Amino acid sequence: MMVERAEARGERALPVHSEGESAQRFRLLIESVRDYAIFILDPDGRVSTWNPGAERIKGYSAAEIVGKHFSTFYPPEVAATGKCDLELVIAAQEGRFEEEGWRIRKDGSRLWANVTITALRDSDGQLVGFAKVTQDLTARRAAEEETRRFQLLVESVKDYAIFILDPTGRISTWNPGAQRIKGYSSDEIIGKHFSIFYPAEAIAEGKCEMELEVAAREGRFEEEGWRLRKDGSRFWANVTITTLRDTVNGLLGFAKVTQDLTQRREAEASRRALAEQRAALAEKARVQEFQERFLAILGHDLRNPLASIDMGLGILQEQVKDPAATRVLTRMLSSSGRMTRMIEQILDLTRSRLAGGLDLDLRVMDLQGTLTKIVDELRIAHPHRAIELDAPAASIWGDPDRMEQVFSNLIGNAILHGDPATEVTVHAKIDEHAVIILVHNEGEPIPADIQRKIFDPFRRGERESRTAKTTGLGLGLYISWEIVRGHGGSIEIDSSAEQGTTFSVKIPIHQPTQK
Amino acid sequence: MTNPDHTVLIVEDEEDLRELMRDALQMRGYKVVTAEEGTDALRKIEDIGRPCVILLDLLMPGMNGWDFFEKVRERPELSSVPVIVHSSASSRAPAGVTRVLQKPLAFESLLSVVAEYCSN
Repeated sequence: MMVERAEARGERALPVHSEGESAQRFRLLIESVRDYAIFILDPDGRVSTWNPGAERIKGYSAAEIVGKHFSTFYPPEVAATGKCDLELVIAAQEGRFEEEGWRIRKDGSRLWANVTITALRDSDGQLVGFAKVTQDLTARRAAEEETRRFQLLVESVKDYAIFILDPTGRISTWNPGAQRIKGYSSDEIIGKHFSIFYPAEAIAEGKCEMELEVAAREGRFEEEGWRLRKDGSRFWANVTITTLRDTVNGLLGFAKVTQDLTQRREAEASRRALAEQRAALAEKARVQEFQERFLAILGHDLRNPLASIDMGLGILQEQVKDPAATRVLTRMLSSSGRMTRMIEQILDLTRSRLAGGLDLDLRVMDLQGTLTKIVDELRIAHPHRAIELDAPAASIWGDPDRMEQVFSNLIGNAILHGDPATEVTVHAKIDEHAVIILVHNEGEPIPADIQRKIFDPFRRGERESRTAKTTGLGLGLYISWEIVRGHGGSIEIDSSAEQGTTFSVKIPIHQPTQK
Repeated sequence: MTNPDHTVLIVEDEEDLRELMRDALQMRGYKVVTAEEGTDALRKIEDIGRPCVILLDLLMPGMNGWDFFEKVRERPELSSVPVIVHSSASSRAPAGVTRVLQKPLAFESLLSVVAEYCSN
């Protein structure tokens, strides 16, 4: 203060002052300094002067500390090593000692200090003491430490690309995470514009400029999107751009943090796919449950009243003797029989189409016996028709009831559609692997366009649906085909005016590996 | 008390069918006892003793055909009674039944099956 006032009065500097005056001014200067502890040690290291800066930094008043050894300021474990004496020896020998290190305040707290000890000698060169200047660097050291740690953090992060863009978008720092994710080394990338990470179409849309604009305006920009690696491959990135401003709000640049979410995105996609698959399975199970319920209702609830009708008609037929009434009852029985067959066919269709296939009770069965039984039944039902059966004894792996169904259908069709003046033949032949049964009739061939879809359900067109010969739903051949397929076999048709019509059924002898 | 060896036991929940089956068999001279479900049938057996044949539906409220068949087979005096399943669920008939007939059963078929086991 005095110095300033002196200067304000226009006084000249030091040369004009006497030595006493100069020392006085110097003392005032020292006493006004608050940011440095400036004090003098005697040649033994005892404190002999103290300034307000020293009091502020170290916490002692002059009265408390003057006369004490300066080792008081050192952590006890350091003082015990004789470091204080060594410092004075060095200062005495070399004129000066400087270091940064930990010191102790009066309250026991530590401070990081820059310490300078200067040897003071009189005009004879005699050591008269030491000037000690101590600066408290604790806060600066903490800030440096923080910066260093932050740098370490950024440099050790491998999972995130963390780097800084200058205000124009050029890359000014790079970390190992950035190198790992994007593939560029820091030498390759620093100074380049960050648009290098964007697909061409994004650059064309002005996406990079837009992102920096948004970040500059709002302080932050975040998105997920496709980015490019050095090798040109794409990755799905989460990108955050944060604006960096100085204390007066000037734009310093942008911090950009990028995370590679490609794997997470793929995992999410496969999780979603899995969830969808599960939902589809659950839906399928629901549908299947409904179908089974439907089949149960169709099977049980429709058959019971039909059973009553059949039974009742049977009773009446026994009792009624009038020929006209008997004719009526016969027609009714025939109709209920047809109804029964149609319900069976619809059940079979539903099972084969909706409910996971026909139930087959596969076992070793006697094919010759089955064919004989069917042919005998049909001979009784059609006494005026000739049916020739030629089948060797053969055991096949099959469902006897279902096989009866197939041959009853095929031989029945041959009788129904064949020329009544000719015979229907049923020939079976057996080889190492399969039995082939040929059901043949003469007469009008089946037109080619109908042959193609003859095994389709409900195949008859509107025009054909009301002929005298057809009495069912048009499901018989479809169901036969499904049954044979369930046995691992096949049915083929061959029909021409010259050759007549032949259905050939091929059934493997051995147990099929799958239905 | 009917003569057990000539009595047909019909276990069928559907009234129309049950009564028509009774009519058909009675018309041919059989003695017939009917029950609506398994528990009812077991009670009827207490009265009539051993029937010549049991015509058994499977899907019934109360005691179903599967459980009834198990009870019948557990009883020594009934273990050899022919049990003919007559059901729309014939493919799921319990193992060990004498025969399985798919509903609807024609009048003549019913009579011919019963004729095999019972005298009229």
